[in-house]
Amino acid sequence: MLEDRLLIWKFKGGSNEALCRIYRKYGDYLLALAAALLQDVNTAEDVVHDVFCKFIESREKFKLAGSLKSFLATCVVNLARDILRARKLQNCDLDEAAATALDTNEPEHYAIFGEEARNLNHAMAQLAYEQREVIMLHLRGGMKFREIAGLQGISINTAKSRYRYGLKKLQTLLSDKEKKNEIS
Amino acid sequence: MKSAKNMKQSIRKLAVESSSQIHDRILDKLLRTLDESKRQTTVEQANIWRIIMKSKVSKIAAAAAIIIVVTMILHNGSVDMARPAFGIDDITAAMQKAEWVHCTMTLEELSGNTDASPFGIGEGWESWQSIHPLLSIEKHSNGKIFFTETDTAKTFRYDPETNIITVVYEVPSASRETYTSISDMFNKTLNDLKKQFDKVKYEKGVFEGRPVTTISVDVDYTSEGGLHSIISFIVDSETYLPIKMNVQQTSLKKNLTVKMTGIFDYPNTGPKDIYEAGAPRDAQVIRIEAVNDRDNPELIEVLKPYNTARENLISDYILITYERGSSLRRIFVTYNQGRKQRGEYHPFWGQAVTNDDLIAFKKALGDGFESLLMWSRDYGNSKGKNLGIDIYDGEYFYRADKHPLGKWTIHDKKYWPDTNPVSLEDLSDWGWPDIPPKNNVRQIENDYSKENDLIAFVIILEPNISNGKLYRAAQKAIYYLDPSRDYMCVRKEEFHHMIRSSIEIKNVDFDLNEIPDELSSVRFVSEFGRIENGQWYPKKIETHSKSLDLKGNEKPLSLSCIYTLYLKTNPVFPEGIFDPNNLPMEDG
Repeated sequence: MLEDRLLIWKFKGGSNEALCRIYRKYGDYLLALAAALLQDVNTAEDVVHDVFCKFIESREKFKLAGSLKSFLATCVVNLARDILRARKLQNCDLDEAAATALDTNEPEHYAIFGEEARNLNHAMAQLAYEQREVIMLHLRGGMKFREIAGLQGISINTAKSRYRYGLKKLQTLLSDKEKKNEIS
Repeated sequence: MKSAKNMKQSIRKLAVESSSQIHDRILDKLLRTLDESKRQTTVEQANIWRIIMKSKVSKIAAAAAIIIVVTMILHNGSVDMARPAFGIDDITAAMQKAEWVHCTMTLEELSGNTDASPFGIGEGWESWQSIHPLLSIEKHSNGKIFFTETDTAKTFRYDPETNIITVVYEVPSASRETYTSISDMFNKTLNDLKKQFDKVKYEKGVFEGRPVTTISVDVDYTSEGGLHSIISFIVDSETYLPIKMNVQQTSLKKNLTVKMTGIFDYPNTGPKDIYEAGAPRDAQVIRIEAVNDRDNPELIEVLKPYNTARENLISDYILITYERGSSLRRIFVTYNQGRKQRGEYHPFWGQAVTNDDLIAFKKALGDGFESLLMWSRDYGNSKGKNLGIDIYDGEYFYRADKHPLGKWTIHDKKYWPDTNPVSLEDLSDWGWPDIPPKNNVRQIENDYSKENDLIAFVIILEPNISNGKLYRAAQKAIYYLDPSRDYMCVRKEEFHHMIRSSIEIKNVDFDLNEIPDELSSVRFVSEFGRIENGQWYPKKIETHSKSLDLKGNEKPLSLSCIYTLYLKTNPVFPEGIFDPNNLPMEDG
């Protein structure tokens, strides 16, 4: 936390090194979060890039109230939601968009996550968006349910329920997948 | 996935595959964005801060004298209250007797958004000016030192963060503008500053037991996005030497007010080199052979046909530029009516473009001016798409951006009285780019120009180092003009070292003053068009450039971009299209 405050202080002064350190510290998490929420690594890259660009633009006025990690994650979540909403407005189904995005020649487009995590991600994609968000923020980002509840505009209990039901569904989906694999 | 525990562990470790490549890409772009943002902030801060606060000490002192004279000239003697009993000659004579002028500037008070201040309370800089030889020294409280030897045209810059001294050698030139004496400096500063002052007040008083005259100046640039400065000088009524200066500056934009005090004294001696000014002897020294970029009157004549062709370009048109790299990059529509311009910018990077989008684009775009214009209007108005609009009304530049989610951001208008802002990318930017008549530009003849009957000009740029990082090594660009096609610039070659946005100076393993012989990029017109009045224009432009792979290895020259230009002359412009009042309102 203290290190973050020092980094922010230097970053506000325009330090490239501070920006690199902030990015290296949280970039992996933010990219994984965006990719899991959007199921599209191209858009996830854009989201992380855009969030940091806004961060750079507003750096002089920026005041850190809580944790930097939570702040950046919140920005990613908000932007991801906006993009999904915009896609819906364009009558563009998320799965279709993801499938099209994968249809390119660049290697990173073939696999969002590593082989080991691919089944997990596939199962995550079948969860309700809100459940996916809670699970990623809590488990991958270490965000407290209180913060997640604030971000989603729900009660803490509802956030916990979404987490619990999401995990349960995830486990069922993965077990089913394992059973199918065993049979085949 | 045997257990819930394992599943949770896997989620905790979830990471995107090949993410290091993605991170390199993002970080590279972010560092450029940050550098650009810092550059813009510096430009915005400049204005009066640069003119007065960052001036050499003698200039600051000179300003005191100038105020008196300017006021006398402007008011033609009508200002009679407490007019000082001395004029510029008295102060000039007094200043010329001084061997050294020394000034300590300190920040006394800060209010508003204090984070935006370049200095903290009690910080500032110390400066010296020697007359014979002409030396200017600035030592900032952050440890940076600037030492300029005017006679030998050398500037030393010390950066304590990197412990590097950068020495910039200027090429001697007869037209080089330097100050030969304090009075010369007074006169040149007078010319620079006499339009800057709005209100001047005089007040007689006593300072530390001595009779003084306080001269206060009010300079307000807030209406143009600049600063409001109130500066007062205390000038000794007997010696005519400035002894103190108070400065209050307010930036409405940054919500910041600073108050600084400068104390002048006139010692017998001062630092003779950068080491005496405080730079450590073990600092690394880097030398830069600076090019002379001052005006070259002879070149104005040489470039006359080119600039005449540039000025005579048609003025009423709509130009659509379609930019393609490995995928569609952007479409830019420029509306041009005399000096008025409007640019509509549809970028496709920074937002996801799916294959479906691309197929839909190609279908909607069609292959002609009308279909592209129609597409641009529909696309710009549709939700979920980026759009940037620039308007130049001949005096001010306006900018509005639409986020993909439909939210608009309106940027502050900028005063731009002389030339059209380059970001509007009009016909001249594509075919007749600005070739400044400076000493770092010269006409050359080479095999390519001879074989193709072209006129060639080379522009040389010196290395750019800042905060221990090399942003640009020495480089050159060659412009080839075609006299048979309205002097259009039909080819531009660039020669530079391949570096990322910046490189730590300690990691530079080449001579940064040496320009590579091998081409780094070339842009040329591959297809020409001609309008009804016979004027030529570029119809298709190709860019081939070298690039760096993710490991920093150089990749050979290859086609990187194709621009296709669609031009419509004498169009009927939509009503109010150049009116900034018709720009969308900002959200939120």
